[in-house]
Amino acid sequence: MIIRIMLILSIAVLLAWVLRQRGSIVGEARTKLIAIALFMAAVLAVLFPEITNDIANSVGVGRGADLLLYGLAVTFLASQVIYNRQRNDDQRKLYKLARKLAIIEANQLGRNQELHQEKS
Amino acid sequence: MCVVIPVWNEGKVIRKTINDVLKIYPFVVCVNDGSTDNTAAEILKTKAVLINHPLNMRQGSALQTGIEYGLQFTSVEYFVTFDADGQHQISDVVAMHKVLNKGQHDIVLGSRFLGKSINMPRIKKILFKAAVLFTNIFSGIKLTDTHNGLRMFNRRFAENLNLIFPGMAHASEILDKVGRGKWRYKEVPVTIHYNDYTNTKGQSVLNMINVVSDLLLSRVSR
Repeated sequence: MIIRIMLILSIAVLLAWVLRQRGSIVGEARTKLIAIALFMAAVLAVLFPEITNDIANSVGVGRGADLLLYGLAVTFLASQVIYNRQRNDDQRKLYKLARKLAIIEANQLGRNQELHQEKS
Repeated sequence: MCVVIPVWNEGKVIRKTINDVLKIYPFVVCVNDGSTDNTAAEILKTKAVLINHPLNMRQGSALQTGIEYGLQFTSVEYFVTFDADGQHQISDVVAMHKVLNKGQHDIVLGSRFLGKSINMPRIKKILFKAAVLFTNIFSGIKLTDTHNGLRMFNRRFAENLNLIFPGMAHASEILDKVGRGKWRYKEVPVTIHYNDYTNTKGQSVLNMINVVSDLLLSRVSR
């Protein structure tokens, strides 16, 4: 019994965090709807574990716990891929910014300006 | 003519490399890619332009920085990418310049397999040949050497080149651009001098794996 309360409480806290988030994230409303749906599914799964068993059986998996584990594995890998992609994008933006900075700095250096005047 | 030299911790040799180039081409842009040795001080002793990256962003990024700096000056017609470690010969650049001056090509690429490789270790030879095979399959252009740091291209190509792979994959990235954009290219034989210094600093086996995976993955996701 205690575990059920703990599980429901922790997902409720997570949901509250997601719903409280404000900002300019595109599709924010959609994210919130998905979070609410996930929360309800999670609460149902905690209160009535036999539901996950039934779903598992219907797709050919023995136990509901196994089905959850498989789903978790796929979700974990997907989130790693997405995270990596975002990190690469961020790195490209950072490098672009650093490049701009380096060129501006080089243009301002008196030494570089003199060198260029000597040549032209 | 703008000679771009990306430099990372080459304090021992960079001054000699720059001065050799300056004997013939006066506009040398050195991109110091966050070196932790005396590289910047050594560059300041020469007549080359110094650009300091605020952090280490790796060779492809450094090339892009040097090219963007050079593009600011409208008098620059041609760009050269040149390695800092002294493995390239300025006489080869002169030969490439003559080819480009005929106006029939947008980019000329150095090939060590058409030219000479002095003291090239066998493992490197095998790796480079494998890279050639791989790149020829994927970029759709036929070359004898795909990972040669010595290249010369015109302003139009430089303006269109927007290198986004930070690391060593820029070599394949450039060829990819050449293949897709229908640029007119030509290979020119060049001599590469291998010595103990270039061998310890050059591309390693692990690096090659990175190059391949970067390129393959770029096709799946971007």
